[in-house]
Amino acid sequence: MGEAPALEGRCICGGAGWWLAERPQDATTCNCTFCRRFGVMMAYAEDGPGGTITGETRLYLWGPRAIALHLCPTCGSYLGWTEVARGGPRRFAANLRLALDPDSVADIPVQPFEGLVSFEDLPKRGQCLADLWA
Amino acid sequence: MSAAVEGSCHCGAVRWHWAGAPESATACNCGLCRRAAALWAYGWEGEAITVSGPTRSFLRGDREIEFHHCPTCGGLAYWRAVAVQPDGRRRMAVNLRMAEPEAVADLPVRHVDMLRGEVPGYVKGRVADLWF
Ligand SMILES: [Zn+2]
Ligand SMILES: [Zn+2]
Repeated sequence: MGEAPALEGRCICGGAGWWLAERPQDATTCNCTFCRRFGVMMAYAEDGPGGTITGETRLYLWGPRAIALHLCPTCGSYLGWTEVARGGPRRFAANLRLALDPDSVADIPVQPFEGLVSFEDLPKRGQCLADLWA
Repeated sequence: MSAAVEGSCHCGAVRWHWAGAPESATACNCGLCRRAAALWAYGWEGEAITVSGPTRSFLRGDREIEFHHCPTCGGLAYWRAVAVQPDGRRRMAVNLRMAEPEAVADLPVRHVDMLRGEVPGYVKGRVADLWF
């Protein structure tokens, strides 16, 4: 990373993290069986130039295996995912729950995604991330 | 049929069972609970709460509570007090995020502002409001 990242995140124990080159326009929440267990808030970027997951992680694969889910091997935190390797640029997603400074992401709009049945974005409800945490 | 709520991590290896129905869910804004999106139901080991499955655990900074997650899928399933109470009971809490959504959606949420030391907090809304 050349310039300072726009956002950084760190897991509960501090052993792994992510950074994002640019502040995301919104963050996706999802009701699939994995995402709901972590209350995830995802920001998407191109892996490498747009940011990446850092530190030692363990991969969890399920379903169609198009993406690898990154977990901290020590504390279990869900950092985000990377697209499983194929030609060309890879996408990655950062779980904004792990932002170093919660105030830095509090006003990012929520984009709900129906990840159980229809697999499509739901209409925005005018919420921001702070509305979904304590 | 006696009421119960079941929770399991995504891969299904770690489980908890709540005999009866929890009264509320606690959402805390500390760095740990925020990162895990935890929604806690407090109880006692071997009473309302029983757990199963292999876990990995870590101690909170004050070393009074151990947090247990699944080593395969990462799901934070429950915490457990290190010390037992004088009466022999042990404090525990389960993470309601591991339950089926319908089983916990209507529970009232107690918001704890741990960052500003405002405990026990205030009750506002239902679990469904925070779900996704
Ligand atoms: Zn960690
Ligand atoms: Zn698991």
